[in-house]
Amino acid sequence: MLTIKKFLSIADLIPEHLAVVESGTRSTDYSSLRSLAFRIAASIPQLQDRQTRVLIHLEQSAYAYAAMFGALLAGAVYCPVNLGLPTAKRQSILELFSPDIVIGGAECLKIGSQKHLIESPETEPTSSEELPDVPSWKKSAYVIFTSGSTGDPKGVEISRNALDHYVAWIGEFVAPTHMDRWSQHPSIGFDLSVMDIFGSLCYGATLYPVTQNTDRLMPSGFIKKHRLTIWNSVPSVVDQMSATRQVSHEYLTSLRLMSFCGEPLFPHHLESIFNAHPDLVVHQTYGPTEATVSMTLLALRKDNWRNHVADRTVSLGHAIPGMGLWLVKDGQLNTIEGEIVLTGPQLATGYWRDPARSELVFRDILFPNGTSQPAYWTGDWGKMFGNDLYFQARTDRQVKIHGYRLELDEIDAALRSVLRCPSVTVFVRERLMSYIEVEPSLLNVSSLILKLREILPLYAIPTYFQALVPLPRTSSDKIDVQAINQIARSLGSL
Amino acid sequence: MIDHRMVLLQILESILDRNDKEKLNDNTDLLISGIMDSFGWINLLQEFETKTGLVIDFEALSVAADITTFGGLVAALKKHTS
Repeated sequence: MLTIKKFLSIADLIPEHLAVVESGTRSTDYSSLRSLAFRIAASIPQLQDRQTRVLIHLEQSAYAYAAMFGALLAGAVYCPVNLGLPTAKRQSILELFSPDIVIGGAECLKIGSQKHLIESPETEPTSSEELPDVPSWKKSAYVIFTSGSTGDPKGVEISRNALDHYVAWIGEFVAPTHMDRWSQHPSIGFDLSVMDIFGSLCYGATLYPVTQNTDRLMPSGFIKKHRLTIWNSVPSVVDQMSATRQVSHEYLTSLRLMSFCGEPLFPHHLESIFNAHPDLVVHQTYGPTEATVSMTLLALRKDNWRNHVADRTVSLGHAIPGMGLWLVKDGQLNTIEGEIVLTGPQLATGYWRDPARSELVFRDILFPNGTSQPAYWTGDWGKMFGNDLYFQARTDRQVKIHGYRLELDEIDAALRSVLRCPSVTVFVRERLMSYIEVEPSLLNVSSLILKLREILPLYAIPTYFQALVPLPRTSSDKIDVQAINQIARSLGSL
Repeated sequence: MIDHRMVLLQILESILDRNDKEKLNDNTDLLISGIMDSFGWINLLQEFETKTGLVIDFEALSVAADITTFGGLVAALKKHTS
């Protein structure tokens, strides 16, 4: 596997170079990280009939990254979990993934007796640190769980080939070196972290996990303190930096690259960044988890970014080499607008143990010449302005909040499980608003929020609840979501 | 004379549910308790500036102790606003 080879080669080349610097004084060099990965790999049992499943239940840390490399070395498939999720959600991921091993402290989870919990790997070095032969049928690299409309998370299964393709692209277009100091801001359960971890550690850069509260609250200070050269996050983190008046040359001067993915990038983000640091390069990228983090690129500079703005957003960029991006409208390829459909080696294998759901969105695209290709149908509606593609809307009820993908139906499933009555949640002016078919006297918002916190992550809890009897219905007696949207919009600013 | 604690409480009134209000004390960590995430914390401070007309020294705030606890934040804002 190319990704593993890159990591081992660089660890051989610069064994004493810092690989990971954690908060405080804790740091791990490449040689130690490599040894830790091999020790973890040695603790992972080999199964004859399927890949061993490894759940990584850890904060962003050298140990977590070594666990990923260890799982890949052992031919296993790993699943990183966001520790910020409510316990019930993490438990649900654990049950769906059904791991053979859980790495990390997981006292809060109910782990069956068959699971082997590794608190810390063997301290003795393993006798061999050679790249093992992994049979070719062990194809999967990792599974990342995202929001699912039924309330159950869905696991996106990424192959080793897909990861290799993505990591090779990073090498060519981000060109990290041992001189780079790279942020690791997203949780390891969020696929954006894949770029940081493999982009950095396969090319000799030093990775800086952002774990302390003050650093997460004021990330510009973290950039300044560690003189980072590469920052990667969702664009709304720039709003956070702006709110603390820390998008300035003083804070960003060490950076050579800021890379964004996961939600729309707006002109005001670029305006403030380039005012602060005119020499910076900004990478705008686009791609769902199902396409291995991202599969487009737009390299923006102070002198060209305004050419890539239309309809109040920044273009999604162009497909990276090897990947294809198509627009399909009314079942036909369209050159102007349509659902964004993706092809190429970075596509996920499908949804973890969910062939029915996979078949809905992983299906071939047909070309006018009669050929076809496996494709992922994103549900994103795109439109061309000039030579650039722009995101317009979702074709379903999925939204992005601070980069986290969220199915609005998941919130309604949670509300239904608590209140036992229908509801519709809409996302209007960046606010989640729930309309619930319940008598107003029966709606106790305080206790409702408390119960929702046990089921949903914080970013998924609505900030507005309204009892509404009856909810508007369509002629086919379905709840009229459009009508609810209009009601929410008519409320104006709350 | 601005009462920093009172202003923060007034802003939090609109965010917190009854249960949160009951458990809120100086030691409550606004992030760990699940009351808000980092984006909510920043919004809280932005609203504090709007309501009071004070300007927060964020650089000084970033090295102050316990700024995610309610009491720690009140103390830090008293010291690092002008």
